Amino acid sequence: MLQMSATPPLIIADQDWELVQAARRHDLGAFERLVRRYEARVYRLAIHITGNGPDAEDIVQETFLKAYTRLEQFQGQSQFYTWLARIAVNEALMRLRKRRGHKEVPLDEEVDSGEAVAPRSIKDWRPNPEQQYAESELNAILRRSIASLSLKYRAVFQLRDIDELSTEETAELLGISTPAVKSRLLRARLQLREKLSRYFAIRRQRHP
Amino acid sequence: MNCNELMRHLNAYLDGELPALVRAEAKMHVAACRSCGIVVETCRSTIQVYRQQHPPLPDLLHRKVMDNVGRRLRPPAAQ
Ligand SMILES: [Zn+2]
Repeated sequence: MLQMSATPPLIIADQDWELVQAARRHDLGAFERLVRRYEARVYRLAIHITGNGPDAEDIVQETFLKAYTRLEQFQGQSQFYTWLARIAVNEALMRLRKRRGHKEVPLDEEVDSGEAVAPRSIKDWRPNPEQQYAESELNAILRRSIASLSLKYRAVFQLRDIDELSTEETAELLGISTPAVKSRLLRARLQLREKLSRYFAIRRQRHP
Repeated sequence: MNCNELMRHLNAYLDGELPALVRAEAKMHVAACRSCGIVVETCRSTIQVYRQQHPPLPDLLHRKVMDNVGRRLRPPAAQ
C-alpha cells in the first residue's frame, strides 16, 4: 500500500522526509530509524547544555516522545535534526530553570559585556591532541570544558560549531539576534580553546 | 592587517566567510604573526575535536525512547 508522500519541501534530506511520512502513519520501525540516526546527536547536545548525564537522558527521551506526538507539525522547513534540536534545547532550558529555582537563565540577555575580545593565554598545542587521551578521558575533558562556559556561550557553540546549524537558524532557535550569535560564538570559541589548552598545550620544558 | 583587526575578523576567517581581499590580508597576517597563527589553529582544533566526539550513549537509552513511543502508540486503555 504505497501512499504518495507529499513533495519533500526545500532542503530536508529525502530519506528523513520519507521516514517522517511513514512515522506519521504510525510506522514505528520508520520512527526508530530516525531515532537511531539522531539519538547520539541529541544526547550530545543535551549533555553539553545541561552538563549532566541523567538530565541529558531524560531530555533525549522527552525530545523523541514530543517529536513523535508532534510529527504533524514538522513541515520540512528545516532539517529534521534542527527541528529535534529545538525541542531538545527547550527541554534543557526548562530543566536548568527548574534546577536553579527562580533564577532566570539569562539566555536572551542581548548585551554582551563590552570588554575587548582578546585571547589571554596563547599556547601552541601538541599535534593530534585528541590522540593523547583515552576516549573516555577525552570525553570527560570535552564535557567538563564546555559545561564551564556560561549558558549563552555554550548553547551557541553547540548549535553553530558542533551541530553546524547556520547563524540564522541558531538565532531563531535561541530567540536572539544574529549579531548576538556571532559575538557569542567568538567568545565561546576563544574561551573553549583556552580551557582545552590546559590539556592539549605543549608542556614547556623547565630549565634546571 | 594587525592583531586587533584579525581578532575582529576571526569568526568570518575561521568560517571562510571573508571577502577574498580581506581574506588574503588575514592569511598574510596569520602566516607572519605567531600568536594569531596559534589562535587560529587551536580554534580550528577546538571545533574539530568537539565535532568528532560523541559521548557514549547510555546502554538502555535507545530502548527507553522506543518504549515511551510504543506506549504512546498503544495506550493500555485503548487496547
Ligand atoms: Zn597577530
